[in-house]
Amino acid sequence: MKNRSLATKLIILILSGTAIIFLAVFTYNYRASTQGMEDEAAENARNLTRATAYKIEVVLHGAEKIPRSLARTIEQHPLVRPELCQLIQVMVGDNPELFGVCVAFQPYAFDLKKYYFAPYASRHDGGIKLEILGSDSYRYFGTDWYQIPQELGRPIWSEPYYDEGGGNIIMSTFSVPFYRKVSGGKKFRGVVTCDISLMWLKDLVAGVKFYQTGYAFLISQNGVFVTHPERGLIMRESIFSIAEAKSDPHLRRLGRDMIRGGEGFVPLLDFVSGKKSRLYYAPLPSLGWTLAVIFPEDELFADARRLSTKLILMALLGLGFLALMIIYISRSIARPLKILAEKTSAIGHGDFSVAVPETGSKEIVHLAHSFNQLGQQLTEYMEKRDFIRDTFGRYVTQEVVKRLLESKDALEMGGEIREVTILMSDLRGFTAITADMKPEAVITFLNRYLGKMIEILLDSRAIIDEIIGDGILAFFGAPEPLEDHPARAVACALQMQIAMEEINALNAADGLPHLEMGVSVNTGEVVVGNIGSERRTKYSVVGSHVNFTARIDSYAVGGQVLISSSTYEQIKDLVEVGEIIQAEMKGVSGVVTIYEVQGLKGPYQLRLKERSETLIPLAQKLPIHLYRIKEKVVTGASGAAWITHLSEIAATVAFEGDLEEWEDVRLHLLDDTGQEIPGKIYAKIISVKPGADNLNEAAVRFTSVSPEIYRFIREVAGGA
Amino acid sequence: MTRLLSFSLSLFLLLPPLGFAQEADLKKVSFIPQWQPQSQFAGYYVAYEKGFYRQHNLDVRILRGGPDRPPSELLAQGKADFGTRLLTTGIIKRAQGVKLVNIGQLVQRSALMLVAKKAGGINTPQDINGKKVGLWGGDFQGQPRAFFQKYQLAVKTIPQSATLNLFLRGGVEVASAMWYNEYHLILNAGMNPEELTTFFMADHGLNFPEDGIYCLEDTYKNRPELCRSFVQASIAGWQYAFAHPEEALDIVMKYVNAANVATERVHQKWMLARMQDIILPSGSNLPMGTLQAEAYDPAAQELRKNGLIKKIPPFAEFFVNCLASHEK
Repeated sequence: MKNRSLATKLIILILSGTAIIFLAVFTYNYRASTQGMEDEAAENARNLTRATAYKIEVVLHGAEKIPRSLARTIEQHPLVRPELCQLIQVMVGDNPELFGVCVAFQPYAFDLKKYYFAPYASRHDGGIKLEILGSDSYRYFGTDWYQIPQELGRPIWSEPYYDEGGGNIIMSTFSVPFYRKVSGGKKFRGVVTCDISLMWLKDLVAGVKFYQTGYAFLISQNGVFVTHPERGLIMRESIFSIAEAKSDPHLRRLGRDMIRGGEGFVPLLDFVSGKKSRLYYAPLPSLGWTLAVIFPEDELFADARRLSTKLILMALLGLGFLALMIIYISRSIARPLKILAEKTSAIGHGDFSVAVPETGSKEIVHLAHSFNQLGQQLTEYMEKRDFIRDTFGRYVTQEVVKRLLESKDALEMGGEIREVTILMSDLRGFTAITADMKPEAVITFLNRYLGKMIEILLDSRAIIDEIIGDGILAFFGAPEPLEDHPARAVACALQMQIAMEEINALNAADGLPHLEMGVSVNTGEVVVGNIGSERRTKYSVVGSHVNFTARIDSYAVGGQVLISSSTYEQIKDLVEVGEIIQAEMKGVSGVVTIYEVQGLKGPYQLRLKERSETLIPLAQKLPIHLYRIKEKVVTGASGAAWITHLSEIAATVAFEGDLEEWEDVRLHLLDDTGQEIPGKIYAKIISVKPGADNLNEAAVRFTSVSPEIYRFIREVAGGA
Repeated sequence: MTRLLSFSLSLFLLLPPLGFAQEADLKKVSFIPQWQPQSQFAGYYVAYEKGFYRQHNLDVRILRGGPDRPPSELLAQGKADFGTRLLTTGIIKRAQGVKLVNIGQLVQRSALMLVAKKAGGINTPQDINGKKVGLWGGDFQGQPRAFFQKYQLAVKTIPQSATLNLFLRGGVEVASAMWYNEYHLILNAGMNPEELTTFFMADHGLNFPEDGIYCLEDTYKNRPELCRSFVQASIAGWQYAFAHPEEALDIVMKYVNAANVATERVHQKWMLARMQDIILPSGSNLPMGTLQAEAYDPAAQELRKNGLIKKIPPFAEFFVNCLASHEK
């Protein structure tokens, strides 16, 4: 029943239930009606059997009267031979039911000279023949018809026998003993007998019909068949011989009850046809024989069977109709459910706009209504969720948001150690550049830059950890592991640098300052995870490599992409390296090797636009003011200083006083009057060495150049 | 057994020439059983139907037996060559001067019995005292009368007719019966065995052998081979009938129907089974066809005691073992 359809379940349950109820009712009805029929049949069979028995008895009683009265006559009136012989002849002649009449005497009882004396009148060739029976070869004293009434002292019908003539006439003889009075009693003197043909009896019994094939039969006191439709049984077989042949003790018991004058109604297998039958039997008291009526059970119950067949047929039709009804009803229930299931499945796949028709039964309408409401609520909920996700995603990374939304585990605090590639970028001199700008302009200016960078970063599948002002901290390789995170990060950095040109073109068009960006990339093991508290969390990287990346970034001048040696080691086959910088860094022991990337081969095919790096010696030194800067704060100024050599990204500065390597500085060009002309250059001291004229000579690398100065430098450096 | 085996062998070896080639040389003989067709004579009918007589070079005509055709008369008159009789009948006839000889004794155990209804209070021989007892005529009276003497019973004997109706209706309390016939008729008239008390003559020291094959002394003297063949073939018939009872019954019923005898198959089946019990009684290994002097003498003496015979015919004259003589 587990996975069967509603219709199947209903059909099985309802139909089997109905069938059981029907069967119970049907069985009861059948039992009751067949019992009624059986009772009625028993009643009819009894009536028929008794009526038939009565008819036989009437005839037999009539026949009995003749020898009885003759016996009385002989006892009371001594008859002479002619009288006696004439008397019996007249009797036969007057009574057509009689075949013959005999008066048989004991030895010497009629005539003292005659041992045998038995006149016998019988029908013969249409007349009546008189014989005197008895001879040494026919000692009638030993016959049943003589001996039995003699010994029993009462009249008796003999067992049936075939007539002497050899015909197939079954006869029985009624014998009445007669006596002679003697002192103190009576003495047996002989018997009067009458033979009657039983052919009329055979016809009478054969005429009994019951139902279609029911019939009657007669058995003698010894159980021998006197009449039966099966002729082979007559006068040969007895009910006991059949019981023995069939090894049927039940039939034998029945036979014993029959010959003892019993009466009853019993079921039995018809011993001729073998059919289940019913038998009614009743005695013929005068003969001591038994008349039985037997009829097949199927005929007895034929009406009940016919009715039952009709009932079963009707029940089957009814059950069939019921099945159709159930199918119809269950379909009307199942169809909306099926639609509902399909729509639910659609919802599962994200289609919340689905709606089901609100028709059908009350419950279904209710369900459909609830479902449709669910769809609407889900749509609203998803709209809210999308809004949250989108908004959220602007502040964190879509990838992280997605991860967080998809998995509860992603919200777990804690972290893991993972090798990632960290990318850090910032604009050179941005603070200074924007110091004088209006706030709205700053935001526009910054957003143009950040918008582009964020797009590139996200396209490169970077996780943006933090944006502080113009600075971006991003990493590759977490939370989703990326096998090629070093190459991916470097490619991203190159794309960012390349994009700066586009940004600067836009800025120039808007009259905004020229921007230079430095990017550093470093690969190393960090802790990644949700950092923060339950109330505020961000997916972030923590570790010395983050700081190290920041340090490298501080070495990058505008337009440069610097990578650490750990990144370099992983992509050295792909990377095109320009300058290799040996640097000492705060908090890092030893000399750190930093590689300047100029391009990336392989699938990336990225290359930075070449910048003129060749320092052009200036015909006339450019006087400048040089300010020392620490943490973006001017901490002092050098003495007089001049640019002696210049390129787009670097210069050689001769100066008075001290400067340290890797110190940040700001340069202002001076006009002829010694006034600072607008625009400034931010730079880093790369090396310091003593130069000519007691001046020190510093190699500087520009980190940020004002647009107007940039134009100037390009004229000088490019034009030279 | 050796005799049987050699007989069977000779039978097989001689069968083809006797059975077919010498058809014309068959010796015509006639046989009369002592009663109308029934399983009591199954062996003879089977021997005829299965061709055993022909195999023994005999063309046998089986005459219809019955109460009106006593075999001893037919034998004496030369109307039949062979016939069956009770041993007691044979002795009586011989004593009366009819020159009959017994050439094969088949029934070794007496089937004669007295039957009473337990309802009449008869459970032991003593209970029969003073009762009415149905007895058959002459030959059948010897054992019951000896029985009455043995138990010192005074009974009123009533001549018993061909039926048992007198007994069944209560006209007599005790009836005579043959185990293979009347006893079963009583059962098949609705009496149950447990309702009956039976007195087998054989169980009361009165086991007179019954059916045997007889012929005139002259017949045996002149044609001993013929007699031997008839006895051998008859014994073969009996053996076949016991081995194939259903087939034997088919044959018996054929004769029954031809004679229009009022009987039926189950009764004949019972009878055939009982014939086996009395021809081959359990515990006896007497070869079929043999009569022993030890069995002959008590029967003959009982007949003399009852006055049925005056002088006992000598055993050696009465019985000839034609099977044994063949072996010599």
